Amino acid sequence: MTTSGQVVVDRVSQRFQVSASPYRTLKDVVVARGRRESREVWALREVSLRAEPGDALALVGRNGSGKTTLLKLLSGIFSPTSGRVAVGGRIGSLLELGAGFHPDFTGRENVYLNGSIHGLSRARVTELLDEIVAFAELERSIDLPVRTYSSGMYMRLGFSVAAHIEADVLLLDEVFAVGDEDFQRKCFGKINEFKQRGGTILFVSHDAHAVERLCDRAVLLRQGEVAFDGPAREAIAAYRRLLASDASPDELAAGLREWGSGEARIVSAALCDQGGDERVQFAAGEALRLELTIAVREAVAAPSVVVELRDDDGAVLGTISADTGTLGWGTGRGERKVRLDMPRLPLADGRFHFRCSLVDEHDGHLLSALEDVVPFFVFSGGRTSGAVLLDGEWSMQEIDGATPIQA
Amino acid sequence: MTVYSDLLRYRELFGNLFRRDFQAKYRGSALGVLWSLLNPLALMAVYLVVFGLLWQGNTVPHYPLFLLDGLACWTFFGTSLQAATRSLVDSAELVKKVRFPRQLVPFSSVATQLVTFVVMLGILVVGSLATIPGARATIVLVVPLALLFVCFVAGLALLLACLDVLLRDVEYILTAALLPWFFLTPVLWSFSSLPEKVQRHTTLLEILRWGNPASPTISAVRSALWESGGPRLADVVYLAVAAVVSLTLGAFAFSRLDDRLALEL
Repeated sequence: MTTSGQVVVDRVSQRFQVSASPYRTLKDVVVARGRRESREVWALREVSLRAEPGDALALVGRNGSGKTTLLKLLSGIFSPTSGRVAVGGRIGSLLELGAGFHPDFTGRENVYLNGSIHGLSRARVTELLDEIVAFAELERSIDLPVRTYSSGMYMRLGFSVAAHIEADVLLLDEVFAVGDEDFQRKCFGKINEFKQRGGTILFVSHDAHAVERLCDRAVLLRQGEVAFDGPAREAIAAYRRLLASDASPDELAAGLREWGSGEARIVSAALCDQGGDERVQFAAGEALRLELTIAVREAVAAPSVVVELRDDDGAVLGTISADTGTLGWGTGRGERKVRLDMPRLPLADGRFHFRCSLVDEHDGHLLSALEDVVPFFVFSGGRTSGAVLLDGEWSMQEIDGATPIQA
Repeated sequence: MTVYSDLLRYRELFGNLFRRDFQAKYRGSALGVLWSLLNPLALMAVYLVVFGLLWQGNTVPHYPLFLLDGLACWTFFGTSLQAATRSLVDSAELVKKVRFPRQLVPFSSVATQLVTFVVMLGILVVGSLATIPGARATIVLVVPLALLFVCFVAGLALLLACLDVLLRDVEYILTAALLPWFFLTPVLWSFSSLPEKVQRHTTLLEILRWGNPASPTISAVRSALWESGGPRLADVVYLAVAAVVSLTLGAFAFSRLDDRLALEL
């Protein structure tokens, strides 16, 4: 028996049939007698974990490691192939914001529809409506059809409805890409509130910062198995090591791409603020430090390190490079750290990432390149817009003989 | 039986899903929900003109009413099944993201068609009271009989929606089957009005009468409105049994599939 707010996952395995064609057709049934050309994939293998009321537990791991499958099992969308899943009390699941919104319906109608899908009574939605609308900051567009909403508005409304579900256990899947910084802060506030009330949270995210802010404990999943279960900080460190150690080309989707001849490799990259704390969100014009860890397998002559700043579409915004020889590149093997300090980040607003590479000084061949590392956000706080932070001195001068404009 | 009791427990969700389906059907049109009234009226008028006035080769008494009674039932039967069969597949995004009683989705499709059915029956009750005095004594029976008929359709709808999740061909097979099925069901014609040489094939007629589940069920509802002396007991019993069997099959298929639904979509 589970008490309210308790989550028990006991030796759970989940198998999927993956087949070339998404649907079974009559032809398949007749010709293959129901046996489809398919292979079995184990999304989860013998996974066990527990969470007690008031716990905030993060699930981290690469894409395809089984995080979302686990959340779906917990929310009861399907049942495990083997093992036992038990969740005490009412479940609120935010697997996708705005799932079930009807585009032709107004925001208000969709709040009722979505609320009842998540188990809120009509009377309760009516009570909460003003709060939901205010939280989503949609007072002026709540009576417009949601197809006229921007994706940000759509997500905000979805989050707002979901945040007002009165649940004992909250399941969150990557829901913090919502809105601007202000709204994200509100989301965090709402979720913290829930946590303080004694609610249990299971939270999937790639955002290490969000995980640390919200969770004390994290479970690292690797190929459907629990690789680590412990303090969030350690789990994230383990996750980073995992990302760096087994980047295989077929796991491009994990967000980490690596290539090059590999005598010396950039094994990880991290962004810090002035104080040396790792961060992924920066204010426009803030100081930023990029820290690269380089592992040298074979003695190589000092390569040059090239850092490209790219925007979300992959367009290069700028490059900066250095000859590591001048930084004191030794001849030995082992790991070393290269730091790039930018006292004033010339970025205003958006999502960016770096591509870092090591290039042989002599023949120009690529030793190692790491793409898409450390995606980060820059927020302008409304003072300026666009990608680039412009800076300059303004002045003004009265021109002699100018006639004042007649009123 | 939670498959059906959830309808009561989650009646607000059901109401909202129904509103979604129903309003979405007519959203953006000037007349809006009025169409759910105008559509059946137009349909009835067309059939009445074609088969009641232009094509008079039948001997069925009170033919216009006979035709419209059968047509109301058949339209509900056919459109409900067609809409419900696709419903779970169409709601795949929702089914894969949120846990809720998913059987409400096909039921809501049926409920959308039910609005038209009820409107048509209302008009036909008035028509029957005005033109067939002999049916007045039993006309109240149309309410329980129509209810049984709705249960019969709802069970089938749930069954087909589940099957369609497993095998997408089901919706196309159904679409292809509905037209011949319509002509094999006594809607335009009645068994008593068939020509002499057909009447001799009694076995064939028995199969047509009892082998087609749409035939006795529709006859039962129709006869309450149209037949002096009320519905035949055999038809009523058949309808009741068909409703129970259909609800059981639907519940069985759904409970077998429910846990795997999101995986199959």
